[in-house]
Amino acid sequence: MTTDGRSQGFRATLRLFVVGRTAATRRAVANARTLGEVDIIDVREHPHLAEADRIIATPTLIRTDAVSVRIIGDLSDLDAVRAHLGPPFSRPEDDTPGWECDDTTFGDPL
Amino acid sequence: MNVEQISTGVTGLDRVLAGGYVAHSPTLIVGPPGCGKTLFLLQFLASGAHQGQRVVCATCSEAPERLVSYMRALNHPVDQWLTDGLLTFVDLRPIHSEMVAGPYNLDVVKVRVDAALAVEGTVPADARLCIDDLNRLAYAFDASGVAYETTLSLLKLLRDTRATTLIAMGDDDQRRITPVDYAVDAIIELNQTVENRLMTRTLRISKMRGVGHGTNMYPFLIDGSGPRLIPITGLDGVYRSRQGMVRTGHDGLDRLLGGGVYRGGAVMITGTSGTGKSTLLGLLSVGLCTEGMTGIYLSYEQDQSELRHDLDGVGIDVGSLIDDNKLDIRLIRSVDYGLEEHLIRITRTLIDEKPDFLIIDAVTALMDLGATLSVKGMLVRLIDFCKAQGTTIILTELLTDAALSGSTLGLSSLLDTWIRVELHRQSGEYVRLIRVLKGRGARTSSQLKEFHITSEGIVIEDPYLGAGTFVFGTEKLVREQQEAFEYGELRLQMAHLKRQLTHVPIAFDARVAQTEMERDEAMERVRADIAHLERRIAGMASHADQIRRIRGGHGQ
Repeated sequence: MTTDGRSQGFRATLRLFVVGRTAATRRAVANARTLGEVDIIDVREHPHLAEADRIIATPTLIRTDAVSVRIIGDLSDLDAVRAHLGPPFSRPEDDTPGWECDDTTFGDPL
Repeated sequence: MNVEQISTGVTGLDRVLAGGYVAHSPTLIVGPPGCGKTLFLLQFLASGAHQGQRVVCATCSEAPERLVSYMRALNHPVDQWLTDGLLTFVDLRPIHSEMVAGPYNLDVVKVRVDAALAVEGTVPADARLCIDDLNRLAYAFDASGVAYETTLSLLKLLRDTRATTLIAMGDDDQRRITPVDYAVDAIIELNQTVENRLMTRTLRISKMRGVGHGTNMYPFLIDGSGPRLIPITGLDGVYRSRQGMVRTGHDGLDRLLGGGVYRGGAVMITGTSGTGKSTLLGLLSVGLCTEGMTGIYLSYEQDQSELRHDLDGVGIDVGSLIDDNKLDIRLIRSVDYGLEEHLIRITRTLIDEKPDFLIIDAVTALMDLGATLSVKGMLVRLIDFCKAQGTTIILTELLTDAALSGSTLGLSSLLDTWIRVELHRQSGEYVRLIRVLKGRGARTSSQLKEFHITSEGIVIEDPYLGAGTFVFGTEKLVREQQEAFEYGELRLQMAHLKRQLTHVPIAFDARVAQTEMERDEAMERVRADIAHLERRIAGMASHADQIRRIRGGHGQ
């Protein structure tokens, strides 16, 4: 039973898998959101998505488009994260608001 | 020791573990690559799925499709299980492009495993989980080798699932992580050793809290049915399942054996080369098959056609038994497998084909594969296994000429019947001798017999027993002729004496008659003399009376 995140409303290019709401999770979510639109997925609620993307640690940030990139950790070194993600994330884009994410998992602001 | 245990699905392992893996707890299976860890995991999952239990296979090394194909190869209905949702894979294989940027944890592993194990939100009590191989996961983020913290945290997480869990961990010595030993209750070590260029796989329980498990190195084999172990003597005690005797079909041999061989018993035939062991085996095969039994004849020396031809030449027809599927002769080359693998393959044959009797000719061929003690240990277990199965086992041991004095294997205590065949040399020729060294519970003949292999089969006969020594062969013939002559002589003498016995009284009777006649004559003569004298006396007395009367009547 493979589950595609898109069928469950996750459409962003970036997807951040987390477990619960630990301090590390909060940091990771905050950092991820500086990168642009990102779907935050709590694997406790969507284990099948973690299964489909073979997540073995959290937080994990992945690109859902053709470019396969996976970054583990709280993303504290944002420059390294951007570099690893590659274009279009590798250059800071000041005019792109990264905050208006489609966040169904975390209803209240972190 | 109230430890709940779950069957392992691996033949023989439950016995070694005194029941199975510890329920609701992780058991670690460690060992180098290729030693069969994954198969132990798959068999455990399969045995659960066969019982309709929820089983989850988390793989950190091989692709789920690969594991599915393994299970298919083991003849498990794995596709059905996948369709029914009984078997679920959790793909924990690390993806290598991963970059680490800051702290993280592996809680997601437990979340995914729990989700796979759960049925409508809760993990069933009898759920089974296998993880293959956990090290890959631990080292995914820390290739330098200090991953035991990760491993420990994974173990701790997995322990909380309460599922009966089997965790495989690659274990090359450098990476052996001691703290892990303390973190789990049960550790099974697998190993493979190469001895005489032959590989033997072994298993050892290095830790199992609260369970009185076996402590030895247990050899195991991997074949088309997965891994399997052979139980070792001592765990279950020795079986005895002799079920009466079955005739060998040869009167002489039956007499020698006190009726035949035991069904379910162990028979050993020892002898040097050319003493007729294989011929005896042929004879026994025919006898036992005639009594309705089926058998497998494992030969380390000859193939079926050779043996068939050879036995045919001495009037023993195994060909028709083979054609009727009563007897199956198989040539095995001893060097093809390690000692333990031979044992396991043989027991496998017994389990799968259930023959009534098993012949191994000759177990001595196995001596090339290990020390005498190892071979003996293997045979002890084989005999035990046969007894437990109720299979009659007939072994031959080839003695070297130097070992004429006795068997090198010394299996006597396990044997019900022990036949010794030997060549006896005297006066420039050899004769074959047979005797029963041991016949447990049977009235066997303790006498040494001579036996001949003729074109009509085996002839067993009594040796010459004279003047306090045994004599065989041509010398026996000469002695017998001599004896026959002497015997004839004595018979003549005897007849003579017997005749005398009748003649003597006749002769004496004649003499008695003669004497009696003489006696009677002598007495007659005396009587005649007496009568004559009486007449004279009487005549003289009357004469005196006349004179007295004449003289006037006076005087006497």
